Amino acid sequence: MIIRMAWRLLWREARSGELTLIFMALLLAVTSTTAIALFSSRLELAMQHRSSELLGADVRLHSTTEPEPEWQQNAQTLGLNSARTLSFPSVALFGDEMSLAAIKAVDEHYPLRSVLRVTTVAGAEAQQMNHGPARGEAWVEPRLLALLGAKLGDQVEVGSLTLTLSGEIAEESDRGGNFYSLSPRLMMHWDDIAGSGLTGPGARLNYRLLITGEASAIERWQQSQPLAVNQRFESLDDGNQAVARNLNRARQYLGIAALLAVVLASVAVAISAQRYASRHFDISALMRTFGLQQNQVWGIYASQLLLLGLVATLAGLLLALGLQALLLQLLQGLVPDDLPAAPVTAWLLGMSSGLLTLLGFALPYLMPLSRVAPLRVLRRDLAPVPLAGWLITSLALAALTLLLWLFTGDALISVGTLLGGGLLLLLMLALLLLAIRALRHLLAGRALPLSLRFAWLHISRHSRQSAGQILAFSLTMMVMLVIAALRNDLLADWQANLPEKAPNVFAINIQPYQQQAFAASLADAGLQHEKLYPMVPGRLLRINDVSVQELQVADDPAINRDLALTADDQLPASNRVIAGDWALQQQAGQVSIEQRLAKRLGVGLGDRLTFSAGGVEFSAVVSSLREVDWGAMTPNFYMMFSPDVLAALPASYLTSFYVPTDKQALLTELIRAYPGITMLDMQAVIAQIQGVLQQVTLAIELILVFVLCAAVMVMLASLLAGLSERLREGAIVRTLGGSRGLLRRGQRLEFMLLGAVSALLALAGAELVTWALYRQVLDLPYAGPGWVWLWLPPFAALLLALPGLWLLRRTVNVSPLMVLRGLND
Amino acid sequence: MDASACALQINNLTHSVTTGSQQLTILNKLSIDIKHGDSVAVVGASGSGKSTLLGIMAGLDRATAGDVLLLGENLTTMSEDQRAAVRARGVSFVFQNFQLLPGLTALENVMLPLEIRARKDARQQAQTLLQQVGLQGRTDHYPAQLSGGEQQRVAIARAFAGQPKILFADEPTGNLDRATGAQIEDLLFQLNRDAGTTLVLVTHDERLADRCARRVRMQDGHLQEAS
Repeated sequence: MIIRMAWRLLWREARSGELTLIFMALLLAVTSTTAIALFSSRLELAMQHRSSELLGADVRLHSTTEPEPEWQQNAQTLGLNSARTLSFPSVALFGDEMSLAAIKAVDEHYPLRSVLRVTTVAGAEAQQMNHGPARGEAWVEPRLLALLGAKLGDQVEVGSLTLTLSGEIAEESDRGGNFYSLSPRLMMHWDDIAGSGLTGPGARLNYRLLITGEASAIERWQQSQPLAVNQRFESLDDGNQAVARNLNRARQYLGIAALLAVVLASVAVAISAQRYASRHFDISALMRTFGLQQNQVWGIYASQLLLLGLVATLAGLLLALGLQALLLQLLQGLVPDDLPAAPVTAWLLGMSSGLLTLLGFALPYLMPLSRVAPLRVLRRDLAPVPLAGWLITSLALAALTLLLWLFTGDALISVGTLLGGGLLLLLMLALLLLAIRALRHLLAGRALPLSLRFAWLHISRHSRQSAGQILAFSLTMMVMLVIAALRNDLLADWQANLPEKAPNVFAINIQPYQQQAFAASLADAGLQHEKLYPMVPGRLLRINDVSVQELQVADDPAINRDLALTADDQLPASNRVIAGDWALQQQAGQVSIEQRLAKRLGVGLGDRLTFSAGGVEFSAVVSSLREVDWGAMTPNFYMMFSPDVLAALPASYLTSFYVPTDKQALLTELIRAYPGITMLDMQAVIAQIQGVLQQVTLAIELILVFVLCAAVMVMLASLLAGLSERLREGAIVRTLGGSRGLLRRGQRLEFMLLGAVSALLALAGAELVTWALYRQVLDLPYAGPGWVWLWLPPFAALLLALPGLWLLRRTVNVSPLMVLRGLND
Repeated sequence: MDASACALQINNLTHSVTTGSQQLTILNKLSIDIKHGDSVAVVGASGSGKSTLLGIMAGLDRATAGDVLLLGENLTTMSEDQRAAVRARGVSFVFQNFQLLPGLTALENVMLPLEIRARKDARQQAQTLLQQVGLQGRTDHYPAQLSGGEQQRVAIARAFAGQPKILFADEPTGNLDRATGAQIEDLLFQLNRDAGTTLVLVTHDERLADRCARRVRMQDGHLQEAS
């Protein structure tokens, strides 16, 4: 009986529009959380399922020099399978066109575990391959074909090799994703490397020995000989996978954005539920006089709520499917194409968000409905005692914490985020409130135009509500602005701020014997270049004779990879000594260190650093700290030694130079003339970074649109909650002779004020954040405000005014006679 | 009767509402003329249609048929905004439940009709009026901070603020205790006399009706002169 009654009542109320807002808010919460949950869990599952495919092996030995042959011999003895790969960045040429390419040379045993699908005939279906390209041939990603304007069968040049394009790579599961692999793949045969001239000292080489086999044998193999400093094992549970790390970060941001939407939707649900309850006191009292018991009334409302939640959840789950498909579309190319289906837990998480929101935010307001005294039918002032404020708050907080926990899977982070974020929000809210109250004080008794007075009346009278709305809108817009700035302006601004003719090509891997010839070639071509610096890849081993692995800095990224070491006694133009004495660089055994790295490592003047490079250990004393302008596009180094230190080590040289945009042909010529020298066109590199940035930020902004919608819902919910008051006000003003135009103007001004103030705060906040980012982090001159200051405030005003005015249309159109008849809206 | 001598003329007024499939006629071919400066009480049982009539007379609502001439202007063909303009020129109200705006102070409530008429001396005028109703010390209080009697005083001050030609009152003492109600009545009639305003009062309180110069009774959708 109860359920049937609840269903009937729900249906009636739904038709009357009474529940629309709660429904929409729930829908929004469920949709955004489910979409993100589906998206993340599918990605995670793909990582787990396919990590051996992603790794291409059970374990890999990574090395920056060719691993000793013993490694492979040991594997063979132990009955393990092995394959060798070598990857490095280079340039591919086709006629006059050139493109950066992520080269990967594979031996005849590749692939082991990875899935390699290749199309060998244009237009045909891709086929799974159990071997790599033959000698003299190359398989490339379609992207490279497009960049070069080449097709299958054409011949491209890589280093001093000419390779025939014989396949298009559709899938390469162990592709990995780091900075250089953003460039399109070119796969070639291992044996072709020897004659390519691409692997001299200084080239950024990544050798991998792929191993598959029995776990115990692998374990024995791993212990068969010690690792050199430039070697490490990469295994299935290696969290250092670049793809995993980057995607994880994107997922976290998406998750936070989705939670913001849930929080705002919850507020809208709470406000709507409160209004719903207060409008149902009469009906509850009536039901009691009809003979229903307290728990029956309670049962009706609880089941009604549950039914509503279920319907909204089902609809939300469907919408979420679409939204996550859209997310995947936006992130195409960055995430694997064929993700496994989402696990049940992801759907459950999405479902629970709707029900938890209802439990935490609607239930507390509906509980008193069952306790309405039947006498209320005679005495309307008899309202039930609401739940204690602390109880409502703690229910809401509990629901939020639970949601956060479900989402992050980490209780500590959840509580921390909630407390930290909550405190920060409260602080901002308090500031806004103070501002509104101060303004109210200031404006009291001032002669303002009447419509403006009405607008201000509504904003200031519910100052807490207004402050909350302004905060929600301005924060969301601010985040969107900052993200948009990152996406559109950051790289462009950086480029614009480079001096004219700043170097735009880096040449690395210049062999000592090529130094003079290369410099001469640049001069002949009329290309200005920076000094040629020697470069030796080496690792920091000890600080003052204490191993870095034992120090707190063991996790620092500068510790676990090769640093580019150089030596010179002249201070580069883009460097400034901030401590110590550069003149000491003339003496033996000195090193000058970049100041930020020094700070991170806790290294100061006089400290003794020990390095390993090319199998040799050497030490130097810190004689100065340098501030480095990394953005200057000139060769820069963390560690600059006095010339004696690296003298005996095999070095390659690097420099940078400027090629005018209309003289790209010169660069092509140079690349042909010096196939062993890697020339990185920074324009192309920047374009690649920008492309990835575009995709990721667009995905996050898509979710932020949901946050903005949720903020609009909060506004609509509070407008609805104050609707009867506004109806009364409208009617009174009109009986006094005020026109509808007056009311409309007041409302328009109110929303425009709210929208414009939110937009201005968002803009100010975004400018501040961007400024800090530019000046403090990136050391770029700050570009200053843009056109957005002109269009955002009116846009935001419109965003609030359209739904707001629509919702309030009754207050203007309803007959003022209502005032005479006690109001019943 | 000469139209210019009348503050309000109603001819053959009919008003019916449709509830579900039934049509309910509340006012049935009703006519009345009210002269300038007159005070008229409309009495009748509750549900007889008094308030509906008041709403139509004052142009708050439109009748199904018939003519309403308020202050010489025919409301029948006017839009709501045009009727609002007529109200702004010379119509005031006092309601049973006061109908003050909760967000405005007493002074601001009284200023409101003056501001709608764009009067520059709104504040000064409102202060004088609040003084006349004995609330000079409470100008900055919000309605919630005032007693029922005080709220109705504010409402009366607001009603007279626009120097209305005609004042409609709907059970003005209905929500007040007897003693307070009597004070409010005195105030209302005194101000009405001083200003020479036409007063149309709807009440079921016979004693209050007796203080008006003319009494009409609402019955079965018709008006009858009562003695």
